Amino acid sequence: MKKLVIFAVLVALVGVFVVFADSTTYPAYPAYTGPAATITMWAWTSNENYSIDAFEKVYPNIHVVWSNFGVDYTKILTSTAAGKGLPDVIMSEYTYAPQFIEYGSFQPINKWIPESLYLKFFPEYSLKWTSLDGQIYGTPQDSGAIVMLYRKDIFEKYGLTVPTTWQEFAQDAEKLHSENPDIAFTTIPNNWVIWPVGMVWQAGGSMFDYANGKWYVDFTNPTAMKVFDYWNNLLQEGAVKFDTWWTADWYKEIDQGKLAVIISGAWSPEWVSLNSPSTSGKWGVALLPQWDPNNPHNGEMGGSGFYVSSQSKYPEAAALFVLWLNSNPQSLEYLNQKSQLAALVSNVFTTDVAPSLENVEYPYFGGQKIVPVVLEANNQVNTAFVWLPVMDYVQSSMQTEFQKVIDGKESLVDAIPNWQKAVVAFMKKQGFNNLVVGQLPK
Amino acid sequence: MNIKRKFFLSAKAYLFLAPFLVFFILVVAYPVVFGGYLSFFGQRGARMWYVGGGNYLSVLMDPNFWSGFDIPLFLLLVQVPLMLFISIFIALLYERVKHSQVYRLIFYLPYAIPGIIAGILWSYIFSKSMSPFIPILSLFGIHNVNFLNLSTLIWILLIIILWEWTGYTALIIYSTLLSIPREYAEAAKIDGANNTQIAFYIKIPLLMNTLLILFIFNAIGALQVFNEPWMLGALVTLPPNYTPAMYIYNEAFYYGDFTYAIAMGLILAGVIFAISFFFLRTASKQMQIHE
Repeated sequence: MKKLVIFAVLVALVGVFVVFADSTTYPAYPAYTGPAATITMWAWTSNENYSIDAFEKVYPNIHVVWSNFGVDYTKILTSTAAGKGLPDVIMSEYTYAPQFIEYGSFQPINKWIPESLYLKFFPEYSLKWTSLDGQIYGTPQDSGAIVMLYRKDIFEKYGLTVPTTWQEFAQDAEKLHSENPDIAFTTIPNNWVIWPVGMVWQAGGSMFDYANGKWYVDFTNPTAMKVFDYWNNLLQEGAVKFDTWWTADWYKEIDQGKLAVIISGAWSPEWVSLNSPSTSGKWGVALLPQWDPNNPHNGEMGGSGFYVSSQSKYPEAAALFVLWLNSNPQSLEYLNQKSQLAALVSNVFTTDVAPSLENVEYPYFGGQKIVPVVLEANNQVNTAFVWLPVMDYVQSSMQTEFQKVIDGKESLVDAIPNWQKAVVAFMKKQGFNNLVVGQLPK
Repeated sequence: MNIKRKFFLSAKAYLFLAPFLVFFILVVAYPVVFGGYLSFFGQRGARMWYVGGGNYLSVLMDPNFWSGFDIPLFLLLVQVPLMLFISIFIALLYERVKHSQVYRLIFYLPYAIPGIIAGILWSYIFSKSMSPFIPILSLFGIHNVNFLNLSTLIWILLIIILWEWTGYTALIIYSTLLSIPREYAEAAKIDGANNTQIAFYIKIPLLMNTLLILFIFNAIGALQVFNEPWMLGALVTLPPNYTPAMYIYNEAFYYGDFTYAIAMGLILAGVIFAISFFFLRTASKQMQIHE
């Protein structure tokens, strides 16, 4: 009995230590005032159970049951329309969160996570991904900060230098194309809308936003067209080409060394190591080139948040869970180590967790210490915007327009206004009469 | 028969029908009726509001829906007649060739492969990095061929659907041929007709009923085509309204507009019904004239 008491005290001390250990500059987590609850979660991050176990020790009245639903947005759609079937916590990419907020899939949790508390744990720009009109619906988990994966062996063979400006990038692309047209310097996905939007973001701009109850749609603003002009030139020179990403053909290209550079999110180092084991040791991770090296910007491609569903019977429990999951230092460590998420959005990650990871060498990248690069890429993200609530249509209309560019019927530059027209027409048809076309909020 | 006995006989009949009836009502009749009810509402996520015939009006004026019919119409007007022609030819050969059961089995096998698997198989055959045609073409100095793009897709669909259905169709025609009395052909032979003349003037006219049914079923399949283009869509990016069935699926499950999709589905069913009805009427009139 005595041993049990000592053990219990030790566990309690450890528990208290875990909760308070690294939160020297952060407020304590709120206590749970509701009844004992079991909440369910749909998420595709691997190995969430470590964080869940640690959470349940701190909040013994809340039990979390997690199921991996893939990235099955259709399931969220149908359950929302049916009025039942949603879990308490839903994982969704930031890109699609406004769509689900608009559908009525999420409920506001300001009561338990007011904006003042949120901003202690998460950067202000992330509010654009987890809230609308001042209503907070969830918390952000991983960063999709854009990084550049490049084949060191191809760069060496053709005498290319890792570019730090877009001008250098274009020169590298043209050089490789003239020396070996069989290898694409990089490819533009014709089926991933997050990419072109991310590239405009990285230039310090955006293509749409939301403010004061209105949706702003402006694909042809100067910053966006600067980016599209740039890629149009490279396309017309043949130095880069379009490709359909995430297909068997594309993975084969990567394996066979027909691709020198992949521009994608902070999760892509992990992703490429899983999908192309045969090219291990040949890749490096670098920051994206800048338009103005004195004024660096970055954007995001992907990254997901955890939101409380509108059908949840225990919103307080769910809100406390999503807060803890995405900001507690122990949880963040698990998410980085066990779930392989390279960079996490929470301020706590930057101050408390990342410093201990800076010296890890990654064999897949030839021993490179990639964490500082990914962190710097994440720190360069200093702006954000709200994604349109019709991103599925923005993507499919983009695919249709880009197909015309691929077929040689129009240039990339001409495709953009057509794309915008289709999106605006669709939004009007869906009943959005609060649109502002042709400008962005000040 | 007295009433009690009639009732007893009917009850027995319904009992035998019951398993199918229950299944049919649950899985076909009820969803159609409930869906029809829902189609009078507009929808966005969790919100629904009454629009009366608004959805149907929108569908009738939706260019995306009607432009998607070009693919099924191509299949209807090109693939179906072509396939029937080839199948008749093959079925006639079955009659003449020794050990025809071997050929019947081989040609039937593609039908046994589920459409989705066939779609995946064919997407590998036409993939630009893994196609078995690549080494053959490179022998002739042709490199970097992109078989699968939006303009070639319709021909690839044609090939896949012909491959899937011809053997099955030939088998059905063959079984009808078997039911033609041998005396007809023998009498014609005595009169001096050769095999081609027998085929054209005796056998094919007697196949007309079967051919009509086959045409209608294949027409229905062509107008509803979904599996094959959907699977190929993994390698080629397709517009969401490539075929009407794909547009209906995308409207429901990507854009979340379930009620609009229901209205489209019912209108598509109406179109198919009208076309089938038209063919049956015209064909049966033809039959009457012949007799």
